[in-house]
Amino acid sequence: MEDAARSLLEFRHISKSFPGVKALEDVSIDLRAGEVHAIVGENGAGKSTLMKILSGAYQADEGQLMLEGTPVQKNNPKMSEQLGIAMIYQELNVTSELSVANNVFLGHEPQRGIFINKKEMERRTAELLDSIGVNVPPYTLMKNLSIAQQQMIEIAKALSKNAKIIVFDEPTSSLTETEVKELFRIISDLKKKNVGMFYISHRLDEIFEIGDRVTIMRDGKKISTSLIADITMEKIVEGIAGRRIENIYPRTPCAKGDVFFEIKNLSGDRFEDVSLNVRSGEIVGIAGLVGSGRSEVVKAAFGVDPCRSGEVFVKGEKAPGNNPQKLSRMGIAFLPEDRKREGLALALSIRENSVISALRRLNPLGVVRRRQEHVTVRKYVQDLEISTPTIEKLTKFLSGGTQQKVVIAKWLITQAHTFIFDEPTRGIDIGSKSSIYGLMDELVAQGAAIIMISSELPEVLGMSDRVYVMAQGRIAGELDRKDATQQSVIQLAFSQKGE
Amino acid sequence: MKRFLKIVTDFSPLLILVGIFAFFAAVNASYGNDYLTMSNISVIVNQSCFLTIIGIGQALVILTGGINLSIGSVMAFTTVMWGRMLMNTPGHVHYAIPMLLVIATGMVIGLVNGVLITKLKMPPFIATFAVMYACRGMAWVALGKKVIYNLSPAFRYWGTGIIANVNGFMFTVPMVVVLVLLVVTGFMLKRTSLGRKIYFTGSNPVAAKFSGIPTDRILILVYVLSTGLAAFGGLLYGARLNSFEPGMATKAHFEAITVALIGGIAMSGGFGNIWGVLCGAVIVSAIYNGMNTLSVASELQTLVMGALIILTVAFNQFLVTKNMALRNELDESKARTKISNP
Repeated sequence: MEDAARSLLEFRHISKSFPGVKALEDVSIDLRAGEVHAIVGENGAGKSTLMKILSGAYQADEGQLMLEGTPVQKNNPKMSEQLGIAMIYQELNVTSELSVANNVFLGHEPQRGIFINKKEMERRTAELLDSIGVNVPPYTLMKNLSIAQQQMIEIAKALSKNAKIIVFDEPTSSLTETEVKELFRIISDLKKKNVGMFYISHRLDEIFEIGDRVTIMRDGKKISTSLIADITMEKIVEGIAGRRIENIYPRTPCAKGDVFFEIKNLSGDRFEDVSLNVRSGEIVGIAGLVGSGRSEVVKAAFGVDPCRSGEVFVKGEKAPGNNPQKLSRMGIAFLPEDRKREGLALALSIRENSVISALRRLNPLGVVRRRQEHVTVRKYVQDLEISTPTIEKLTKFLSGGTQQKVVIAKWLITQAHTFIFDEPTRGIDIGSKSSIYGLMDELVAQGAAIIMISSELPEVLGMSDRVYVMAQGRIAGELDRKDATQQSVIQLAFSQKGE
Repeated sequence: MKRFLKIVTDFSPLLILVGIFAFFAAVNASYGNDYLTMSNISVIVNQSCFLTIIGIGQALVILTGGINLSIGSVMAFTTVMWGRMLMNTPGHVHYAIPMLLVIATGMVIGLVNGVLITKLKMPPFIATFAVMYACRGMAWVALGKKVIYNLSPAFRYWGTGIIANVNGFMFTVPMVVVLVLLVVTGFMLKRTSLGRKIYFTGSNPVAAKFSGIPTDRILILVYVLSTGLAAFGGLLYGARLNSFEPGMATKAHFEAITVALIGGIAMSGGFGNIWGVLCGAVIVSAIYNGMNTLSVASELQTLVMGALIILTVAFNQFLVTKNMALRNELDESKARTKISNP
């Protein structure tokens, strides 16, 4: 028993901070040879950061990485590779114009003199593929393989480097059911070969099928590690959700009016048949995991991304596709997820940024009325408590929260009636956060409609009158304020197609 | 000190200009030449007029983060196409008609540029590069190896006319034309909604789209204006030389880029003042003129221009960042003093 529990790898009291965020706090996890150790948690819980420390992409601020009992000093990607650590990401890392054999031995080709020994390389590739039961000729070009097959090749590549530890990051997200079975068969084989594996997945049922132990993470901390046999699905969901919601969300109930904004059967590359609506005086939350298609839906509805089919209505009037200008004129405001890239011209001032969407309203003749512009911008800067010495300050010198307020000011000046907030408080300090919540509450009290996309569940639950939950590009369910709990939302968010 | 530095970075093109004049005045003086005479300065400024026009055209697209390589060949093609109507032969139509036709043709080519870039998603460099070849080719096809010369004097007045002579400084028609163009473009960029959208699009095209700016339409319009200005520049150029030919202005697009960059327009888009282009143009013609008075070989002149572009572009980026940072620090300290003495 003591022998079986000997750790292959150990994270000891790992902490890691990024500017403004404590990404990992005193995390200790161990991995045994021949086990599948599942790691679960919401987006931003610290799973990826932890794995990046293992792969050497990041360095831990504190703590120690132990490999078979010896500390790993100054890890880097090359070194971790030599130590026998391999990563298999959801976005595969293949060179599609090269052959299977070339991919497997990329960077460590068997050589004869200064030349690559192609024959030897193909022979060994065939051997490796055979050992994991994959039937693909070594000379096939990578681009001719399916995603699942490419993933198998990645595993073969890991084995060709004698990997002792393999990290699977969302490996099944783009696989069909049969392909998943095939992958699990290979993982079981690897277990017998004494390979230790971390398995990160949002699909909890898979964890029960393949995992030996599970670690739950939340907010950069380890919540628990337990044997799969000792834990239930409910326990895991509870652990992922964690903390109680405190009432930092000011919501004054107000009367719901007409439907201001409606999406009907919208389909696109990353989402399918999405319908939702929002009324005057209402905040509607869209929850779901990152990658479930939340942002893609609203981007397409606002017209910045193309969509395949479906319709968008503003106050009952059909809106044209692919025309953000028209949508903004119809009174829709869109506050994008990525402020710096999509929200602001950083080299321009607060004044120039905040009037950009309302130029037509402020200057009907096309000539800028400077005095009026200054008055308007000053008023909103004051109302939103944007802290700046002058409205001429360039937005690149502002903090994240202040930048977000400038984007809000930009849309308030257009006198929009429907606001789409995509991750309104991401990366913002708690003070600015609560003032943004206060502002949202004020807006709906004045009769506006708000759609809020957020990865922070407490925020969604605290602010929304209704919640749509998206999973895998579809609306998995719609919950009223009273039915929306962490449990119910997470269950829907992790649900599968057709369930 | 910071305030002084900020002024320096604000007016850097002007300071370079003063430096260039001082340099050539000193060198010429040591050879016994008089460089800074009123008449020489007016020659320099007059020569810079044509550069300013194409420089404005180039600056507009650079402000949106693009580039227009088709300028020189558009000058050749549009003028060659309609140039016969501007010859000094009896019974011709009023010169205004072919002039408008030339500019309209330029704008149509600009439309092609804009559509290639926005609708076919070609990078501006490639799109205008292709149009550059196409226009040069059409110019050769249209006129062959001939030259259109002996142009109507009424038309030539646009490129050569003198309005007043003040102490040897000749005020010419092109100077007035350029002044009008600068005022109009400056107003358009700084005081109209369109100008705001041009700067915003150049500064962050993605955010522009997310803010409801019809970025495609803005870009097309900018290429139409830019290429139209090139055609207009071609007219003045031909009027001065008294001829149009398919091989004219082969370096014009590069000169236009030089002028815009020296004038402080940031290659990355969204930053720069159109009046800087005038400074840039005068700087370039002052250097050419200075080198001519010193009889520097033309091969060497090209080399000097190359070096100058490298210097200015490297320097320009530094100045832009520095200028923004200084402006910010000044704002901050102003706010602090306000708080401490209410």
